[in-house]
Amino acid sequence: MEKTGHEVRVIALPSDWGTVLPLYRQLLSAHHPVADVLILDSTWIGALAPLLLDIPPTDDDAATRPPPFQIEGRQVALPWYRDIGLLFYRRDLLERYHLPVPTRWSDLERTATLIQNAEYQRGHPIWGYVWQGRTSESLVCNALEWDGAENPVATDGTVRTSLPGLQRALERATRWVGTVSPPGVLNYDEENARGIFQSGHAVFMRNWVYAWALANSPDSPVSGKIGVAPLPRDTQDAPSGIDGTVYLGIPRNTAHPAEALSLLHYLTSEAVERHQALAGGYIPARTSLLDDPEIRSAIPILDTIRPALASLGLRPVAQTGIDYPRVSWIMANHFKDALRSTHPSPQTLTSLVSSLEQLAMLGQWTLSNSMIERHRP
Amino acid sequence: MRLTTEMLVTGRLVAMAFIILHTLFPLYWALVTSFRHGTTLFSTALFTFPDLENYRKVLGGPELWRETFNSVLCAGSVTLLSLLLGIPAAYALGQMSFPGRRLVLGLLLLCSMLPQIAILSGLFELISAMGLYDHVESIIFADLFFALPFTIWLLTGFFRDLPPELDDAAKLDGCSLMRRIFSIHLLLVWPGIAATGLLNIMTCWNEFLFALTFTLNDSARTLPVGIGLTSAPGRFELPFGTIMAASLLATLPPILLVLFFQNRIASGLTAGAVK
Amino acid sequence: MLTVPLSKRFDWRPWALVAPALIVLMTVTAIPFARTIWLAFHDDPHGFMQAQPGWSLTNFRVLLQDRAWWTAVSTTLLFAAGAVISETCAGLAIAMLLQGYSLKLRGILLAIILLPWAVPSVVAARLWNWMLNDQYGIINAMLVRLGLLHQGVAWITHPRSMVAVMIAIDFWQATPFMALLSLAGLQSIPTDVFEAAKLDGASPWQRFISITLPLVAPVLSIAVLFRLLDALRMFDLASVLYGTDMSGMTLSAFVQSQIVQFGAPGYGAASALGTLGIIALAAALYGVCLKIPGWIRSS
Repeated sequence: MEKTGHEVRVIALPSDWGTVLPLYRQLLSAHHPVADVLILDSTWIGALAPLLLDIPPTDDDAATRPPPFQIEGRQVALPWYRDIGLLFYRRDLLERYHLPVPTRWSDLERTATLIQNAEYQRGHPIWGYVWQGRTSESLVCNALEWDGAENPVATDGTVRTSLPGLQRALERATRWVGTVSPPGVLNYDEENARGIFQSGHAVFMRNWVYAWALANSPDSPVSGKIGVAPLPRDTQDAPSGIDGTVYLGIPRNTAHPAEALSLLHYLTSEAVERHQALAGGYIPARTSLLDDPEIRSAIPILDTIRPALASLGLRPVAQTGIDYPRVSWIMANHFKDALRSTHPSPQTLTSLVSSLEQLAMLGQWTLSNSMIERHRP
Repeated sequence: MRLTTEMLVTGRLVAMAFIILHTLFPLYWALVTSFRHGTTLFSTALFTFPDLENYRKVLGGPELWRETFNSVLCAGSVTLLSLLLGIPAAYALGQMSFPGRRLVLGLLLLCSMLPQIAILSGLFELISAMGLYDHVESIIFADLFFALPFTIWLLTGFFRDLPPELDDAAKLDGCSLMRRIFSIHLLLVWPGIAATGLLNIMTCWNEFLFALTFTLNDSARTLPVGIGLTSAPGRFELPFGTIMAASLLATLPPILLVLFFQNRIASGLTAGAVK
Repeated sequence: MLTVPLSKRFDWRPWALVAPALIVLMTVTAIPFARTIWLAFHDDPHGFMQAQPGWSLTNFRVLLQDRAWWTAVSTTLLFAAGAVISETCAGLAIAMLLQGYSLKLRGILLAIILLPWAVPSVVAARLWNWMLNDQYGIINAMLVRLGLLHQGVAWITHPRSMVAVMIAIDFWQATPFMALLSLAGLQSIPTDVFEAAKLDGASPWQRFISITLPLVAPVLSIAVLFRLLDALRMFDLASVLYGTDMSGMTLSAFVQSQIVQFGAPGYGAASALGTLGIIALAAALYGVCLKIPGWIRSS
């Protein structure tokens, strides 16, 4: 940090992000601090909130979308860069059959089937749509997107008992498996899906922002033949694409809270976010930067995905807090049950609701501040 | 209809051929896959020309070397430690009769039947408290949980098979206890010790649960954890070719051990179940 | 005995030899196990907050109502039963085949057959997962080529086939162990017993049932016990193949994910004790099953 003269040591995260949350749990409950500023995936913040320092509100907070992460009225993390679920498509194929980019899920299903059949006739078997069906956080994102994020847990933390939209969405997606989507889609993660799409074996793919650069790399068979758009949605006011913003936060056990805070503000400053966008293609969280001509030319897809960025499809992280990893696990497994049609969707959702209610009853979703105080190391 | 000898021989041959095919085909397929990359990866042709690109990639990066180092360190230390601690104990249990001997043996059997997860919570806390979390030492410490009872149990059997007259004769000659163990008995139970050591090396080399639970950082990982967690490293292609190359490299040491020391390992395994 | 006068005094030497090993063993076993029990009986569902003071059964109450736990119980039992039975039968068959070969050839064959046993389970899981891939897997490709399938099957999506795949991989890995031990058992049978039976005109099947099986049984039953205990604590395959999918979770995978993924050592400890109970029950049941033939014969 040139401005303040403090020295910053950068510690690399493990390459597998799945192991980071357990690592952070260890580091943050230890007596000796290891890091002063943490990179936080939005899904970890709920579980880590009791161990994160409050970040005092500033006038700057309104400049970002999403806003700083609030949990139980405490502000614990600032957005660093954005990520969002997007629809990738084969532009060449849509053009060949003069079809528009689908904006509704039913359109996507129809377009995919059409192209699939036509290509099959031409002797090029291809799949319609690949997504992430592996029992994991990604499946939760996919399922919530199908339905315009009808969250099983409302923003006030109550469990919704009736989820008609989600049920319709799950029934529709169950139909996809084996027709427009390969039967193995139920085991796909992001990379499996990208493997199929990038090798030219699928018309549509749901994935995160990172897939754009890789699918367009010089050695990719579909390079230059693809496009990206916001994910379809069934109602105009529904958000499109689940938000995957990456945040920064400060652990409670830091030895240098003041310096950490100033580093945090520096890293989320306009100058740094602009540099990140230009050099690394990271989508800035500051809304003003999205209009910056230099950034718009550095990240050409920005203009097409702008509508998706404007809406925020949120997972129930803030309201379930410390229980979110478990909530996500339960949701993913129930969605999976419905998709592999071992149980009919209505029955699965009833079971999901009762599981979530049971978990809520254990009384941990509303974590009172007194509990947090008691834990302070 | 009577079975002729000829039919019987053919039947045996066919059955054996099928067993060998079932045994070796997956390994062969791993080898074929490890030679492939790019679009050829998706080919289901049964043959391919050796192409060492994946191996170059795997061996060129630091990960595999670091993981191999950790695995060697781990398997070596655990085996050495459990032999050092286990040989004297096994001598006492196999050659001396003392009150409480059966109790100790029972305790050992109980320990070796306890599943790893039964102590996982407690061990997790103990290791965190000792500051070993996310260090290779944590795996070495944890692996003693199964290596030590197994070593003592197996070696006790080997020591018990030695004639007691030997010990008595040496005693009359005025040999001290330590000398008796190290200069007489060790030489005689050498095959047993080799078998035990080999089995320990292989179990530690392949161990996954402890290694996965007690390490998080790339720098403390052992080979199985590295292989188990490899997802696509953000490169263009699905990484199955490189995963298979790394997997085969990781499998090479135990496979070589089996091929070279098949007799020792077989005798150790049999002794473990029969004695 | 030469040491009669000595035996009156307490002999400290064996204890001195045993002590270092016992002390280390107690540190890695008894202390964590005691801690596990303590954790299990305290109300500490998240591991973040200080545990509520006093002993509590909350963890177990939650466990009994946890659908995921009961799924893991049935998955584990199904897997263990399927794996142990198939491996025992195949192992015995392979051993009998091997017995027909000369000593030297047998050694070579045995070395080959033992190879899968040496492969780390993690590698086996990855390898089979690749072979079973719905799009590019060699197994689907072969079945399609042979005309047995029209289109690739996604082998690891449905709960039942998920368990079946685990059994198949474990079968590949553990059958060599069973074959080896069965062979050891077979070799302890004196050959003249067979010759006598042959002369009496007993058919091969009769010889197998009334001679081979009873004589191999002592060794085999211990080998089966080892395998059973191993199968009931299976972790590697489930973890690598299915991650956090409830339908593929074994008990060990359930416990591990509670501790590491959800940061709940208390609940993890309770489920670990539950697992221990189920393993003990299964082992006891197996013991009873072993005794039944004896009871039938004696009555």
